[in-house]
Amino acid sequence: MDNRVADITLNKDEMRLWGSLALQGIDNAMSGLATMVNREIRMSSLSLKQVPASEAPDLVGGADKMVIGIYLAFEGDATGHLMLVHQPDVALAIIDMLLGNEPGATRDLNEMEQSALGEMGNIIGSAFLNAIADALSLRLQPSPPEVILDMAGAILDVAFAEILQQTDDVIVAETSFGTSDRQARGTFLVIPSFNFLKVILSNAGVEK
Amino acid sequence: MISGKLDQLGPIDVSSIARSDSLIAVGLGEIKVSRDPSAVLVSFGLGSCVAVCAYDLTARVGGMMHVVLPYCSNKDSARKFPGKYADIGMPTLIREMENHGAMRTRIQVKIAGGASVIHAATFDGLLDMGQKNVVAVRTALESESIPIVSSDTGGHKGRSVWLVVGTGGMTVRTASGATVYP
Amino acid sequence: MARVLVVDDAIFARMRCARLLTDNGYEVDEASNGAEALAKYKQQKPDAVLLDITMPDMDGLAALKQIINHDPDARVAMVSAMGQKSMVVEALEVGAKDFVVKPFDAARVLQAVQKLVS
Repeated sequence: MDNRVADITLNKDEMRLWGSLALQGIDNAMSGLATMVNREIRMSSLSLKQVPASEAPDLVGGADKMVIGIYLAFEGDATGHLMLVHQPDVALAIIDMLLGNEPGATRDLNEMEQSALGEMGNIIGSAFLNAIADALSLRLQPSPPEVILDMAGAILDVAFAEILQQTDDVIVAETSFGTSDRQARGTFLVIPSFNFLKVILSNAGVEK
Repeated sequence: MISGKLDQLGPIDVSSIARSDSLIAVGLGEIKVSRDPSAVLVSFGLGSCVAVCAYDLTARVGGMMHVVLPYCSNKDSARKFPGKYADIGMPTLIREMENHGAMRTRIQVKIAGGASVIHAATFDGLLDMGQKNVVAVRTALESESIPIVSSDTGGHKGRSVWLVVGTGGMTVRTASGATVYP
Repeated sequence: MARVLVVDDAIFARMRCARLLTDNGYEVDEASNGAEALAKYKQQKPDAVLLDITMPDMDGLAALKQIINHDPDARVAMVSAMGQKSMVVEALEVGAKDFVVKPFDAARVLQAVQKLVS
């Protein structure tokens, strides 16, 4: 077994490459969402970060913040984790939009409501992966989505447990997005595994 | 799947400890030790992670370790995050407590965490990571001959865990309520 | 009246698809995973199948292989968000007649079904 900590740190060129691929993916993901809800979607921020494991939950407003998370893992030629994070009340507004209900009509999360959110996660996550996979001739297959109401940190633990087996830092692409009326908004997190970065960099001709 | 209804999300009163002046946050893989009896150590939003709350009531020393993984495969990474692995983190936690004046024979432990929040087996080896962490923590404590006084582990809900250094009291909060282990 | 089997693990996606097809005069049956799809196909032999890919247990590609294996003339269109080139090519090679990439576009889905049943 390799006894060194894998260094996930990206140099400037690698960061630029990962950034441009992530942006292609996020663009495709947001246009998928726009088609799904039949509204314009705006990205209010996009950041690419490398953070120590201990600080990673701060990305979503703190580890103990109650959120509705839609989680997908992906595997295939590379692996990683995708998550949509919504304030619970905003998630309900999104469900109203998806189900064509009057605003405020959705109060609980039963099977149909969870399925609507899950399908949104499936479309956003798949569209993100489609763009990157096609750009690099890879196959990246998402898992079925899981919709979870819990503390943000508790949901993210599954990603950290996988990534921290090899590294101490986590690379995250974080996008805040919303409809122009801000009725629906959320955060889309992409947390690649160490192997994902190796694969995309070597497929693009950069050795990691 | 979601079992909690949204209207159960009301504020849960942990204010007596959560507003402590000397709140010390313990992030993933960290070990923090204090000999300030009024200090409160806290790990927020544990899913599969486990918080090990150790204390010596006589020396009034408390320590918390935020375990992410059961067994060490990579000793180097334990330098930056000594509490990342249950197996090699436990001796470090105890040594740190001793350095702060605790006596090994007086140390008692409460543990919380190790939930399975994501149900699907996403990757090989990630399934039941919470359960694996709990087992590894128990094993590590057994080999150190340190007793577990109370534990709040498993299930499907995330937890935040507070330890009051001076009393050894552990408070565990989930989405649906708080439990105090005095 | 043509019978269409709609296969998707998300009840939300099945509902939208089923509503669209019944509104347009099709008879619709539903399955929520690959294994159920295969069983219903054998039992009912629908005129067309709309098949999602990302599903628990047996995914859509595995189900497609088994359906084609059981009935080489099966008329199946994939309807999936997982629209990567390699996936589209593989599905068509296995025997899917069409591949509709989600998000759901009503006209495109109807066009695919019309082609399958004609």
